[in-house]
Amino acid sequence: MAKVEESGRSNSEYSRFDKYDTAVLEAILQADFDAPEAEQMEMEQALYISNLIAERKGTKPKDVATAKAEFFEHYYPLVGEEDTLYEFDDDKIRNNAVKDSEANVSVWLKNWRRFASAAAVFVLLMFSGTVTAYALGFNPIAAIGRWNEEHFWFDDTSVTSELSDKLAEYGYPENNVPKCLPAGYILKSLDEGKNGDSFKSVIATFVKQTDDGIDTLIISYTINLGNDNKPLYEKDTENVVQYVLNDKVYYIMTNLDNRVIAWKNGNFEGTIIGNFTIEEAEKIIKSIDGE
Amino acid sequence: MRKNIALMALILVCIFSMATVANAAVFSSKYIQEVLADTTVDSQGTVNVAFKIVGTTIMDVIGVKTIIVQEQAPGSSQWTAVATYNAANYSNMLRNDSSAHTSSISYSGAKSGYSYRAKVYFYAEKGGYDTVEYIAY
Repeated sequence: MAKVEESGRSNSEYSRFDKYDTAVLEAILQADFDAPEAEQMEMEQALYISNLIAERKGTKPKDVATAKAEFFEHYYPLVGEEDTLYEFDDDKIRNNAVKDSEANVSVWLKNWRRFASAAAVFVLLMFSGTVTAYALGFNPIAAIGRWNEEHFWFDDTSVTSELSDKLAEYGYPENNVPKCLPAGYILKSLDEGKNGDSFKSVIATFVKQTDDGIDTLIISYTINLGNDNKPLYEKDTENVVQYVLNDKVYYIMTNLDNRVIAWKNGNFEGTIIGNFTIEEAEKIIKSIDGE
Repeated sequence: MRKNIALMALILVCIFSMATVANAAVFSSKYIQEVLADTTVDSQGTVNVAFKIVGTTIMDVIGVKTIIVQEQAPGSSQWTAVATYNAANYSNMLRNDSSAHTSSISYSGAKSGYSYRAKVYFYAEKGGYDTVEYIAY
């Protein structure tokens, strides 16, 4: 991750640019801006050059009165012609207030604005996609904050990714973990236990705040190490529904207010317990096998 | 005669509906969702009883209240209690504010040639409570 520091002008590493003409420096900046991202120069180098150009052109901080006067002279007329300060049509900009000597800057700004607008559209699409997923009632991804000593950033992660990692530690494939849960659930606790030569267990508890309190969704795995005893699941008298997907049979049953999904994969038994609908149960099952 | 048949039918309907209610009460639980226990005996003569319980939600208290270890002499059909473990004396048997609990207890003193099993009394509490008995071989 690039770190931008205000060391540009005093950086002797870039002092070679001091010998270049201003026009050449502007051309370098322009070429850099047009180059693919991977081929662009270091940000510190670009800052150094832009500071150099600014110094040579005498662009220094101005007092409020001067800045205001320049605003009314160069930018305010655009309002009267129904243009905006951020008008992308560079012909209009040139024809109005921008001087020839500032043309390169306007092109540079135009490219930045195009980039910014494209980025804005991309962000909007990302957010609208997320909103759509939430509207459908499932949360496929969540943002998790990560940081080190110098930086902070967000990683997109499945709400069950920590559970997947835990199963992976035990050497079990990811296709036993649902990728999606009904919207709003977050991981509260992850418990593991190894009981001698009998069985291992991994239990994840997810919670969701509701108007009535807290809803719980529990995912429980039992890995049989050779014992003859079977996990027993409580159920009521409602019919057990079988759901077959990719040759695996999932059993959906109810236990009073809760619905339970149970499946077995070799010596591995999984259950998901929560107050979800049969339709939500089917979506959870599909997300276990990656659909 | 018809009155007797109708009365008999009514009695049968009442009996069957009561049986349904009884089954629902026995086989469903407001507090407990899943239980599992297992008994193993190692070469040192130690009986290990491992258990797992999952609640229907986050419970105030969840775990095992009592474990009774029983042994059976070779050729006998009788099971005899040799040790009782109570949560009041073993803090690892119950857990507070959790949706699940897994743990184990150990009994030293297994005799060669004897069989061992454990009666495990699972427990979950949140306002009310429920218990489930499980015999682990």
